[in-house]
Amino acid sequence: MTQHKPDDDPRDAHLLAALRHAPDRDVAPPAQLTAAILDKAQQAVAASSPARGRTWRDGLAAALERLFTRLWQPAPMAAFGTLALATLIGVMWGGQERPDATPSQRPAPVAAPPDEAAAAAGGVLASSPQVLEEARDAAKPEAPMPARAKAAKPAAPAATPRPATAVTRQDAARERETAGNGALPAAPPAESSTAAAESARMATAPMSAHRDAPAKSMADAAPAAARSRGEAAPALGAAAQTVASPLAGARADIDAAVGVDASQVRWQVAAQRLVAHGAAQREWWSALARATEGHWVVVDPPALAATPWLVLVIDGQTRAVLGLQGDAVLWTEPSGRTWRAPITPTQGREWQAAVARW
Amino acid sequence: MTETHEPDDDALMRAFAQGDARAFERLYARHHAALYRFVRRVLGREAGAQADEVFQDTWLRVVHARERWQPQGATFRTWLFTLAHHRAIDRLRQSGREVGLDLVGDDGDNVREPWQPAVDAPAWQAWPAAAAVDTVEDQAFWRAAGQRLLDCLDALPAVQRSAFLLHHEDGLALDDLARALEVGFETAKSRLRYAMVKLRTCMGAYLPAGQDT
Repeated sequence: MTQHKPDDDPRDAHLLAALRHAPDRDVAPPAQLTAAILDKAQQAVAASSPARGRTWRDGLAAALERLFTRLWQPAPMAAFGTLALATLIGVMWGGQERPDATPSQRPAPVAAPPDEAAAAAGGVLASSPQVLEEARDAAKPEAPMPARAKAAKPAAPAATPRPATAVTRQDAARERETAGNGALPAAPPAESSTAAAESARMATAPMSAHRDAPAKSMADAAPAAARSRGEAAPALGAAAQTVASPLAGARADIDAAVGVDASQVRWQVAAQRLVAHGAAQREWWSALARATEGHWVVVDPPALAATPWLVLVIDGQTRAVLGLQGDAVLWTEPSGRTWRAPITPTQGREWQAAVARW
Repeated sequence: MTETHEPDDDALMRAFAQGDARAFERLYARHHAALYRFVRRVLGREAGAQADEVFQDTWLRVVHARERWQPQGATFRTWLFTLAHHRAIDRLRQSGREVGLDLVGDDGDNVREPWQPAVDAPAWQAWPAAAAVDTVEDQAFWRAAGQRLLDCLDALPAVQRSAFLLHHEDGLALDDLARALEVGFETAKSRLRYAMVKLRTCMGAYLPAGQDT
């Protein structure tokens, strides 16, 4: 099969001449229609940036968001957390006598030493005094300290394997209830490590919640299966940064496009076939979003072997390419940025079967 | 010699996405006439009353999509006409009008390559040269031919009409045409082929010299 090159398909000169001289050659849209369209465009621009004063505020907000995004990395977070914790300890000890206890005289720590992930998560949380307070509250019944050890108390959160990251008071209370009425030693290291990793992942939810309200309910309703999956792949979370779902932005785009014309949201299946974003597609999309929320990590480098599966097309433009890679689903945007989320083999098979029915 | 640098469509669209409403006005000024004509022709005479609505919808979609728009191989103009094509086809479907299939038509078995006549007679033998529009008579002739062509276009299925117009009027190459219609290359080529043969037959291109069209 030979394909014509762009300049290999000549136009019929006679038909072209007839087109050029057709009576409707000079028709133009009514002036009122033109005015209405230009007005709409101006209104849209004005709505997105209504005033100059707001523009610099938007710029500041964007700059802060970039800063937080940059800081929201494990290493800066750990450094920042350590600094904040040191500052806090300094403030709390200010004006008090320095404890005379030497390290050999201090009581042995009651909690098991945390792993690195827990320490990093502890650093994150230590940036907030309120969270520290909650962490201390949560730690109190679990690790009652002798009166003499009070002087060393501020250091406890850093040495506690459950430094409470984004854990709320309710969570802490619930865990105390679960643990029983009596004072118990700290949880086994493996569990606390998992809990810390889970907490660290949950701690990202507030950032995504700004852009995607359903993320909150996702975090609230995190099923046990998802937790177990998180336990099964701790190395992934350690090697790559867990981020808010890239599907959130796509969902907003889909909603916006559907609001204008649902037929402009399409899925390209098997390289050629395009299907509209109908009921079956919405159901599948929701299942994908639910199952992968909170598990996306940026893949770097993005060049991973994956079976191209689906292409999301909005307004005739490729929004993202989905791929399957054994036990994971890959999401690649036109910029080349790629995310990966683990899935179970059963999910992969079910989704492939669902898409095959489109 | 000073050269005024005119930003291309992509640059204007990016500027518009960043809040420059005047960039949109320039885009509109560049493409509104051709787009309006295209929409009217795709909708045909029967649905022509909806041309204004489809035209407006198309531009509003550009407005709404400005922030996520990215050039992806196709030009802004191709994307714009793609949007208009989809809107027009959707409108025809909603109004219950026949849109057409890619299947071979009644004359499908006789269809040859795009530039081969459907009958043995060579095309356009009875016609003046297409480039000769020098006299008032020539202009009148081609104006009448243009009206005839519009009538012939009305008789085509909408998808073939759209393929012909995007290819001939708006200069889309076949691969761009396939992308615009969201079909495969061969399908786009096939649609264009059927449109060409039907139009040429309808226009009397194959009538021997000396016969009236």
